[in-house]
Amino acid sequence: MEYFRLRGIGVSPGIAVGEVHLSEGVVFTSRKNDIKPEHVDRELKRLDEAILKTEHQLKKIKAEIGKKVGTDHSFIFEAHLFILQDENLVSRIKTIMQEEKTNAERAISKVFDEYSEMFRSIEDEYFKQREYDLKDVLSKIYLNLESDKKLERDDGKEKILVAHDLLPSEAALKLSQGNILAVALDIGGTTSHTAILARSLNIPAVMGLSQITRKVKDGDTLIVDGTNGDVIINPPLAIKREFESKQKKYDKYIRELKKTARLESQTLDQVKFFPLANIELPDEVSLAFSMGAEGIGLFRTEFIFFQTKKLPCEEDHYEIYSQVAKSAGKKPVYIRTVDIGGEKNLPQMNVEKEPNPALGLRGLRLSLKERGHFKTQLRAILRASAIHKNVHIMLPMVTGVEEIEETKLIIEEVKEELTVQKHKYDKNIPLGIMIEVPAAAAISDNLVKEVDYVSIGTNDLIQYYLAVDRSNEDVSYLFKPLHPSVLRLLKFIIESAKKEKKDVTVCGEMAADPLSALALLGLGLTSFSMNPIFIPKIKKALRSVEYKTIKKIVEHGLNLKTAREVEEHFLEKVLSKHPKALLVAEEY
Amino acid sequence: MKKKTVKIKNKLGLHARAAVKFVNMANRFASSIKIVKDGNEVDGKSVLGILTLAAVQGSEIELKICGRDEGMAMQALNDLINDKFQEKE
Repeated sequence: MEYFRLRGIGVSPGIAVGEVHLSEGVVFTSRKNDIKPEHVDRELKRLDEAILKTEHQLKKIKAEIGKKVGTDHSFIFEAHLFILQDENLVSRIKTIMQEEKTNAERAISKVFDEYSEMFRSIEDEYFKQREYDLKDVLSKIYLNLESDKKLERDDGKEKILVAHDLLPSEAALKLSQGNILAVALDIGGTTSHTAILARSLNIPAVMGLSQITRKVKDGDTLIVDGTNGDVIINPPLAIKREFESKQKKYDKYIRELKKTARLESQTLDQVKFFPLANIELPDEVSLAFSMGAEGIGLFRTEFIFFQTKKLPCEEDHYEIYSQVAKSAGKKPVYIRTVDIGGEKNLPQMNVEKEPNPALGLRGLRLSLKERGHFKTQLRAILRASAIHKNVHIMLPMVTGVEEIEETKLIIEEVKEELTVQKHKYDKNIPLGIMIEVPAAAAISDNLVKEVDYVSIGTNDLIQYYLAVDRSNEDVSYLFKPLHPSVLRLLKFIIESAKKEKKDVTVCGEMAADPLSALALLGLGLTSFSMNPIFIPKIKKALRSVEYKTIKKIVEHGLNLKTAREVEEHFLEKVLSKHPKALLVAEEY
Repeated sequence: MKKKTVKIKNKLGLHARAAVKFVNMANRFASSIKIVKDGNEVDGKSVLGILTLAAVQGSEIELKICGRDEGMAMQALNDLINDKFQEKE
């Protein structure tokens, strides 16, 4: 057995060691198998039998899924039954078999090609995707043609699922069985449906492996490290042992983190803090809460615009926001209005390519220009605020007071319209801004008077402030969150907000790095919003220190000359006072 | 033969669920039922055919029905479309 290592994208953390179960998406054969004219009838009969068998299977799955998770999820199988019973489809397959005197497999793949060409020429994303439903049905027939090749039935054994890709129906079916140790796919990424499902079920997953289905076979031993994105095929004993012990440590680490998630969010000297989650899909809410989030500090809305080729309508927005507001219950949800522009371009909006997108038409600037879309989004957010009165509006890329004033007028307009149309909304919905432009930071004492809260987007703020593009290898070393200039700026923003008794949050990566998070605590920050998987780690760091000690350490740091001095000073002082505070940085 | 142009009103258009309802209804009649959109003609009793039309909200389709119960079929299918396939929006 050959030993291989592959590198992909770790989309769901954790380690699993187990046996490969290859889930074959059927690769339709294009090989033509001629059959004798007198055998055509026999071949047609073979096809009919396979179709009948497929029909029974579909009816059975439909009934099972309907019972297990509700008829909403079983509809897909009903649609598949209709496709199976589509006379045009079956007769087309048969015609090809009769005319070309060829086997059923070949005819099926030919018909699939004909239809997929039609589907691929469709622009609308929804209808385009129906190609996969057809593929789903045809591959079932295909597998049923061979009497000895059974449709995958699960034997209940623990295994690692390897596939080219999983259709949403397959992912739901397979991952919920409880015996999948890990998932490894050729394609896919962090925001794919399967990735989200894997994360919420705590199943380690690596995607984007491109060739794994060709490199493994059933029964191979596989190690999947969903944290680093490593996949090891048929590891030598020593490596297998190493990972098994890593796995044990990791499982222990997770158990501890989960315990942390349920502990009080306060420092040793009883200063309360609030871990919040940055998410972009409604499905992530429950994961966030299981990690200890006490609210959704940043709900990004860009994906709604990337879903279809058309611009989303009010209902598209509302469906998503109401889902998030509902799943958050009484906990706060900060919905950021669309932050498109810059490098995240949107073809539907006709935003022209700009010479300098980071300094161009993006965030609130674009929303104020495309007022119709902005109002649509605001209407949906306002309507969702009626459900639990837990929704906050957050504006990205604000530079000055005028933009806030203009936005307030638009919100008033939208509110009046909603009142006339008898829609409910939270009349006191809080309005806040992101502080990510240095100019906004410099006048944050004035800006904060105009709004109910501010949220500091440290990633962009630091890039603009230090004039460093983090993705540019030649200068990225200059990106230093602990640069004294950055700390002074952050101090000013945090103090300005506190002076006006307004909430202030940091929602950049600084909040997810233990040392930086401690620095922020020392500056007086108590709301930290981050990718939910980092919450336990940060919570643990903040719980193991005394606020007043950290405050002193940070105050001294503000007068140091370089980022390096600051970092060394923090590390040394924090560790001497609270030796365990930064231990959590070592994951496993 | 009866012909009629109808506008798709429901938000999701002739999506899978609506297409299934359409075919279910069409199958109750003996007449042949064709749908034409942008010059493409498909069988109104074929779910796949209907899906390939990609008839989104607001698009116009032409129903061409031919057979002994064509009047009733036209009425029923026309009502189904105008009733937004019993969908809320």
